[in-house]
Parts: sequence; structure tokens; C-alpha cells
Amino acid sequence: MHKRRVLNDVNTTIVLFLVPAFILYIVLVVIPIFKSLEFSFFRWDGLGALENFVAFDNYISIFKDRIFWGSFSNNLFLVFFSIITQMPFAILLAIALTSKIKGKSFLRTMYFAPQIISTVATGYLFYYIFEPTFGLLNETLKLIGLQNFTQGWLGEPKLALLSVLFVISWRFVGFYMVLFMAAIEGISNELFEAARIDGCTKFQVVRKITLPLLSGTLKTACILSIVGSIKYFDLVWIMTAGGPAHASELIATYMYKKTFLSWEMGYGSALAFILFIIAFSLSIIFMRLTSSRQDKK
Amino acid sequence: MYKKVMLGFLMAVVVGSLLFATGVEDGGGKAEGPVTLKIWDIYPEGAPFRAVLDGAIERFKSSTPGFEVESISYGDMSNYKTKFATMIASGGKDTDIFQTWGGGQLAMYARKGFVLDLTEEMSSDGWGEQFAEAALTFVSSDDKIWGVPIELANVMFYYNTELFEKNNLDVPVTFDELLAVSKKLKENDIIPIVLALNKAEWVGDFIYQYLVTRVGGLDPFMEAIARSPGASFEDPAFIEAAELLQTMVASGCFQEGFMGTEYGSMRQIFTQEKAAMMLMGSWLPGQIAKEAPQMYQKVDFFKFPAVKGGQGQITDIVGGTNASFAVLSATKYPEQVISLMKEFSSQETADDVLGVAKRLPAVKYDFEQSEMDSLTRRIANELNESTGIQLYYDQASTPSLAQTHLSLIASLFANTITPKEASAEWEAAAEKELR
Repeated sequence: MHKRRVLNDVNTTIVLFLVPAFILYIVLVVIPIFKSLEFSFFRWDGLGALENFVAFDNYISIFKDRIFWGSFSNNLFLVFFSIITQMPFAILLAIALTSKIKGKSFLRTMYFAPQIISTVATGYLFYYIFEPTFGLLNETLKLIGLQNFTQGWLGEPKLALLSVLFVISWRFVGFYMVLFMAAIEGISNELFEAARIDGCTKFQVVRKITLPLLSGTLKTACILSIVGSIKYFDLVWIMTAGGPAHASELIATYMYKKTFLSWEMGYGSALAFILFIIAFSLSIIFMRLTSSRQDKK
Repeated sequence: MYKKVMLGFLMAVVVGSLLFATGVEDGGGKAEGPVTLKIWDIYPEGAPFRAVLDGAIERFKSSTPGFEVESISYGDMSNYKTKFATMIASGGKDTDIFQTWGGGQLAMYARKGFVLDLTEEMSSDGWGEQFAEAALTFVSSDDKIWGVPIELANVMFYYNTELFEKNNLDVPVTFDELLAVSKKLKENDIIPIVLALNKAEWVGDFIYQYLVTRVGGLDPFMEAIARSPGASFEDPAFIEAAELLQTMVASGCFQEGFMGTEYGSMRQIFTQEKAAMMLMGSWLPGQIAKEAPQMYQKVDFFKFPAVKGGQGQITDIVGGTNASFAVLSATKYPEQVISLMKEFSSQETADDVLGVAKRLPAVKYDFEQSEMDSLTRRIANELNESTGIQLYYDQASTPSLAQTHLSLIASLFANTITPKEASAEWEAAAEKELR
């Protein structure tokens, strides 16, 4: 009888249900992080026994590595670019698609679709748009008489990153749109009605009610976007693999190349750990920001 | 009580299946039914070389009952190498046989004990003597043989004879003529040489390797990579070759935006006859015959032109082996795997290499007897009559040095680095890596 009570105890149940997830988390996340920290102190190729302890040599080389700084600044640019393009578009779309317009559910699906298409398919789709000799974009430019504007979109060191960033934004706008739509639909209808009775124009309603009440969601979205951009890998890897000549390199792609193509496991692990520190500190800031918002309420 | 037992049971199942999920597969097929050998390669369904491998596999299966063979194809080299690297990093057990390009990469895996040593097998029953001269050197290191080459490849300038005729052009024999031909083609709105450097730096590296070989012969690379006293990647041959390469870029030898073109599109541009020349390995004709048969008759080739004052001979070629296979030392069935590998070097397989894939077999072969079209025959002759073979730089280097080199080549093509800087960085990486 006594045992049954233990089982019914809410805390025990919670613990029991959390154990599998917790074990997974420890095995797949926590242990690898400390493992890679350990690897980062070795000059090691990742294949044989762990050897050649070099203390902080890898970190020192990274701070002298111009490719690392190039990819770091590319990451920062990705953060900046994502926020200034994705957020305004997502908010505009969300406002439009929560108002009374025709074909709302169709449009929602359309704008969300890029999120559902596999990343590899997206990469190839846009490769065939950007392809310099017969790609859709250059061919269209030629057709409408703008042949002077044709470019090797993914091949020009100055354009490659921008071209990929465009695709990344195209892919993620739909995701943030859904986030904002949920937030707008959560705003009490009374506020809108009151505003209408007071004779507000539609623009005033958006500016004075919708936008201020979205600020919390906007913060969350921004931080999600920042952390996602710092860790970003896949579309860049598929479309340019960081090329040409590291012009679109990100920390994550560089880390991958060092680890698995050059077999510098120690160096790659050090890069991974730096990436972890950056993403982790940004996540902490994220938590601080969101909790202070809740405190105010 | 019942609830607790059930809960405990459930927990055990969940945790257990998580912990042992990876263990099940290994023990699986061993007990009963046919044993499956795995091969990792880059030839998807429809690729000419796929048929060659499948033929050999069929012959192996009929002579070795109880064994099945599963081919896992990754489509292209970059893709394959990524998957392969990850597999090796996790212990190197997921396949029995794997494709390799030989050279420094295979040597590294061999040194770490991942590759089955074939030296003894090769010498025991005359297996090793079946191969053409030099073929086994690509898959050997530390005085041991680690792989079985099926074909050999040489890189040649392929060109569209019709486009050359229409524009009254002769095949260029010198570098200056190559520039002149390119200029003429460009004026007539034809892409002179199609190139692709998006994720495929090795395509551009072919040009660089040939330029180095024409300027300085085979010695500069051989000595620099062996770290011979006084030799270095800052040798004038490497710098002059890089200058010539940038001259080619500046004078518009390649299509606009070639840095953004992927390897796959390159062949499309050539077979759609938008481009007149393409520097590629001897696997190209077979692909064209399959993908664009109407165009095959228009394809011919010429030797990479000579550079004025260069040390190299026009008969030195860049090449190597592309379809070579090696065995993971973790294989459970070395005996059967080796008999499959022997089938890879049989005369029947060689017939298919030549007849089906239009490529050059790595075993000794009586070309006079075989039925092959004149293009394949003449390409084979180039290899047989070559005065020297330069193994692809990236394959000849260690993985890390290869990555540095390829990224420098891309920078040279993109004009973001000077020839001197590129050589200095290459040398610094070699010094760090090979000392």
C-alpha cells in the first residue's frame, strides 16, 4: 500500500517521465560538448588514439586565422541581414493574413511552404535560378534587356553570401510569419473594437495597437533568429560550401571542413567550442530578456 | 503493484531500445540467409560505370553462392567523401569495400589501420602482375598495396570539332595559341572553355596542375611534396603557372560566372554546345555517349598546350585512378571480399570498362583485339605513350594539405590572392603538415 502512494506521488511521476529525455540529453548533448572541449586541446586527426596534447594552441591559431574571422563576420552579417529582412516581412505578412482578405488560408500555406520543402531541394532549386550560364535569373535579365546586370550570383566573392542569405530569408519568413500571426490572434478583440469606435484608421490601429503588443514576440523571434544564424550551416553548405574562396564561409561550415575534410579534429573541436560559447551566451541573453518581460507583467 | 511493474517495464523498453538501438544491426544478418557484402561508390543507377560494377558483382555472385552484394552509391565525389569521412570517424565499419582515388588520402586511412593490406594476395597468385604499369603505384604507400584500381584516367582537353570548324580554328598547340583560339571563340559568342568552381575546386585544379607540369615538368611537385632539400611550393614553376592561370581568367577563357557553376552543369553547357572546350578526365566521353549521343560524334580531344620555355613535355599527362576500390580492415569476410576484388580486375570487367563505360582498364589489355571506337582508342594511346603521369594534386596530398591547396586554387581563380601569396601559403601549410 505504501508503495502505491510513492508511485502516485506527482513528483515521482514527473521524474520517471523525464528520465528518458534526460538520459538522451546527457548522452547526445552534454557529454559531446565536454568531449569536444577535451579534443580541442589536442592536435589530433580524429582517427587514431587521442594524442599530441597542445593545451591552448588550437585556440591561439584560431584567433590568428583570417578564415575564422572572415566566417565570424559572415555570421554576424547573417544575423544582421536575417533580422532586418525577415522580421519586417514576417510582420507585414502576418498583419495582412490576419486581416479580412480573400484566400487567406491559401496564402498562409503558400508563404509557409518554403519551411516545409527540404533544405536540399531548396538549395538545388535556387542553384538552378542562380546558375550563371542558363539559370532562370540571368536568362530573365537578358530577356528584358538588362544583360548588363547578369552575374555569377553564387560565384562572385561579393555576391555569393548575399545570394545565399536571400534564400535563407525566403525560407524563414514563413516561419516567423506564423509566430506573429499567433501573437496577433492572441490580442484581445476588444482593443481593436474600441479603437474602431474611437475612429482610428487602419494604419493607426496597426501602429498603436498591433505593433506595441507584438514587441514581446518580436524579441523572441529576434533571439531565435540570432541563435539560428550563429549556428547556421545547411543552405550555405548545399549552395556554395562556403565558397568561392571562403567568401560565404560560416563558422559551422569552416568547422565541418576542418574536422571532416582536413581531418584536423582538434582544431575543428576548438571551433565547435567557440561556436558553442557564442550561441550559449546569446541564449542566456535571450532568457534574461524574456524573463524580464514577464516580470514587468 | 501492476501499474508499477508496467511502468518499470515500459521504462526498461524505452531506455533499453535507446541504448541498444545501434547494436541490433551488427549482429543481424550473420546467423542465417545470404550474407550481404557492402560496397560504397559514387555511381548511381544509369551512370555508365554502374553497369561495369554490376556486371562484375553478378559474376561474383554466381561463383560465390550464399553471398549478396549491396551497392550504396553517393552520386558524386564531394558527397561521397563527406559520408565516407563521417563513417571512418565513427569507427569505419559500415561497409566492406569502398571506392578510393588512392594517393595520400588512402595512405592516411591505411596508416591508421582502416584498410586491409592486399600486398600478400597480390604477390601470391599473379594477381598483381595483371595490372598495367604504374596502376598499382596510385594505391600503394609504405611499400604496401592497399587497393585495386579498375580504371585509369587521363585528363585531356576535349573540344567540339563542329564549333572549331565553323570558326576556322585549329587545335592549339601552344599556350599562346590557346589564348588566341579562346579570344576568337569569345568574339563569336561561344564560351571558349567551360569551367566549374562551385564546390568543385578540383576542376580548376586540373588547369593549374597542367600549367605547372608544362612550365616545370613533373619534378617540382614530386620534390616539394616529398620535402626534398631545397624544394618548395614557392618554386618559380608554381608561381608562373598561377600567373598563367590568372592570365586565362583575365582574358576571358572561361564562361561568365564560372565560379558559381557546379560540376554537374559543366557537362550540360558543353553538350548543349554553348562551350567549345572542356578540360576533363577520360570519363567524359562515356558520359557524353550516354547522356547526349547526338553530340558524341563531334567530340575530339587535344593535348594540353605547351608553354613557351617550359621544362615539361607535351606528352606528360595529369591523371590517376578514379575507380579504385579498397577493403575496410573491419570486414568479416576478407576471403569473399578479395575474390570480388579479383573479379574487379578480370578481363571481363576490363571489357566492360572499355566497351560500356568507354574508359581505360587498369589491367593489361590487348587494345588491338578489342572493338572500340577510335576516340577511346586514341585516348588510351595517350596514356600508354605518356612520358610521365602527374597524380592529381589533391589525391597525392594529405587531406589537410589538399584542402588548403584547393581553397588557394579557388582564390587564384577568383583573383583574391596573388600567385606569390598563394605559393607562400601552400608552402607554409606543407611545412606544418609534412615536416
